[in-house]
Amino acid sequence: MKLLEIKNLTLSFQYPNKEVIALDDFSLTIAAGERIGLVGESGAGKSLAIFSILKLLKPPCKIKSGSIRFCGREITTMNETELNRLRGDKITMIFQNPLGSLNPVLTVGTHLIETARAHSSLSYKEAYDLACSRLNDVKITRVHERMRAYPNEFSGGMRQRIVIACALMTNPQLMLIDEPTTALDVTIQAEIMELIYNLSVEKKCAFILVSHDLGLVSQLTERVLVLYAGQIVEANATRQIIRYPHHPYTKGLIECLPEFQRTKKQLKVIPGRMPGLDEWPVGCRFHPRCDFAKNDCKEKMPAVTRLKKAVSAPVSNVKRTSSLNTPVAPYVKCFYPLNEKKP
Amino acid sequence: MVVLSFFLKRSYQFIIVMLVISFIGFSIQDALGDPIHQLVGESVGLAEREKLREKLGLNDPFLTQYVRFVKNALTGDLGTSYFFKKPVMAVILDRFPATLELTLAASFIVIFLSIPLGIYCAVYPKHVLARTIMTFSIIGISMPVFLTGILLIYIFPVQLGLLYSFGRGETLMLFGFWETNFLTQDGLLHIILPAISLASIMLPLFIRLIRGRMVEVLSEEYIHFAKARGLTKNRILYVHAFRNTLIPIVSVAGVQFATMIAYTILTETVFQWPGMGFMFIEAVTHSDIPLIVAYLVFVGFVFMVTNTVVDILYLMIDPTVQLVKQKF
Repeated sequence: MKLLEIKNLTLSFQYPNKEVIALDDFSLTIAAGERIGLVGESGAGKSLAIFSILKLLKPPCKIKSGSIRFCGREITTMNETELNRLRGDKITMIFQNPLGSLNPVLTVGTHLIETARAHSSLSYKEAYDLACSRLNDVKITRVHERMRAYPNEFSGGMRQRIVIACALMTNPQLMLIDEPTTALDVTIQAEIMELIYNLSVEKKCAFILVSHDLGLVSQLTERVLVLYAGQIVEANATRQIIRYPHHPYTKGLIECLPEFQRTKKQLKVIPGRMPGLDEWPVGCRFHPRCDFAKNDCKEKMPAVTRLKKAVSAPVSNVKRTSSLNTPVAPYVKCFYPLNEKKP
Repeated sequence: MVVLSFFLKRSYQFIIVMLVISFIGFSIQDALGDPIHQLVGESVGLAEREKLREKLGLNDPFLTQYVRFVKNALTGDLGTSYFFKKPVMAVILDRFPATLELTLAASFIVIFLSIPLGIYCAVYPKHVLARTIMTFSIIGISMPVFLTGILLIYIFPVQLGLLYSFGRGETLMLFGFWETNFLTQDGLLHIILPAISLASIMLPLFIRLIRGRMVEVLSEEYIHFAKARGLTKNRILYVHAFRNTLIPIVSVAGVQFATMIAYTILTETVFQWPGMGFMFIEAVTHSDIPLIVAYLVFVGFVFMVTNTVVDILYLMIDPTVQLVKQKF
């Protein structure tokens, strides 16, 4: 059963004199309870992609074409009232910066209770009790005291827990998670990620995790999409993509991770930087930074190449709940994929 | 404990500020002419004038005179008005209700118009109505109060025969000392034009302030997060955004309220409103020095009181302003 299906979504920034494409022909399918990761450097369009799902794009960014269907219902044509029924109810979000996500003049309790009451006919008392149990879920103690406290009385990690509790008030089916730990201390990072993972398993809630950290994503998701300059360059099951990256960019990202490079002394980097929105090169968008680029990479945009579904044992550090078959065949957008002959 | 230390700190600031104001007020006395000249007629001889001068302590050194002034002020005695031949505090307190009511009526207009208009201009910045409001607010800020007053008098009482151009009309005496305009129809009709004219300078300022701050708040991340949680537009605007908008506005409002009391000098003169501002102009015309000094001290006192009220309001609306609080 498809929970969310995005087809050929194109987002653009519309300025009075020109139009800049930010996300190009983006497609994604997610099944109920599935966890997928969206990985790429800053500016690849990762956040825009998940914000577009709830139509929360800030002007001048707009959906130019394509379709987004949630449980079979088209989102792109919904009006604000219908969208508000979906936002924070069946689809919830966790933002990047917990310090900014909570309103400084409202108590933690107000945030939680108003979220629940916006989507149900719970009485204040029922919503209050629900909020307390959600705070317990995110491992916050002394809940009654904390319900009355203001956000500025909490640390960043605690505030992110509250944001997670907000996102779980309504038993959502899908969580959109935008770099949840970027603004936090590294020591808190693991705790928060584990919390999100465990709650998603417990509440049977699917999520899309946006991050630039492939290492983090690889531990929590079943499938990864790699985004570069507004395009998905590779999509595959997590354990496959980590072991056998097919796109040179994915390979570069993996080689940047210290935990996957125990043998080498010096960490590899991808040379150069990602081109800005209005300076995408002709041909394959990655070719100026690619070690394997040939002449045709500079002239034509590579087509999508389907990859064989490899059957292999799960990577041990990925906690698997069910043997979900990836509903979409893995693919890579490259003329000369790596690891072709290998497994 | 926290509240007590707040009030102690406040009182001590209060004393310093009042001393400075009274010192400045007292020192300009000398620059305003010879009090004896105001007190006695042409026929009084030099010797008698000197005797009176000695009797009133005007020959004492400046500091001795100042200390005496402060001592008397502490007992509520700021001197006797030369013109009214009454204690100045009695004169001021007699006029104070008229001024306070005028200022309150103007504040009422400012609050109830600037909040909705400011929010509207922030939410629909490109709408024709918002642009019109913003344009008029520039005109409003640049137009002097007395000109607005004269225009209002010309349009309403003179051309249309509506409302009143001078005086307080019929008033009601409350508790034996407070004459109020708010409880009689005639009084209310009389206060409308002066209040509008007094509000005219603050209203555009507040519309612009609220708009600017609201635009800033609406781009905050918690507003975006509130949208992502599917809250209604009204809840986001009035519960999430507005309270954050209010915080800096309240501090400006406190100062502006006190400033408005000072602005009544112009409005009250135009509308012949028998308040403190009108009285001050009279005092200047008659070189009534004790009354002028007392007015200055009294306005300083009002400023201090409003600022203290603002600080207390601040504690109530902004939870981040707290003196001691444990962090979880």
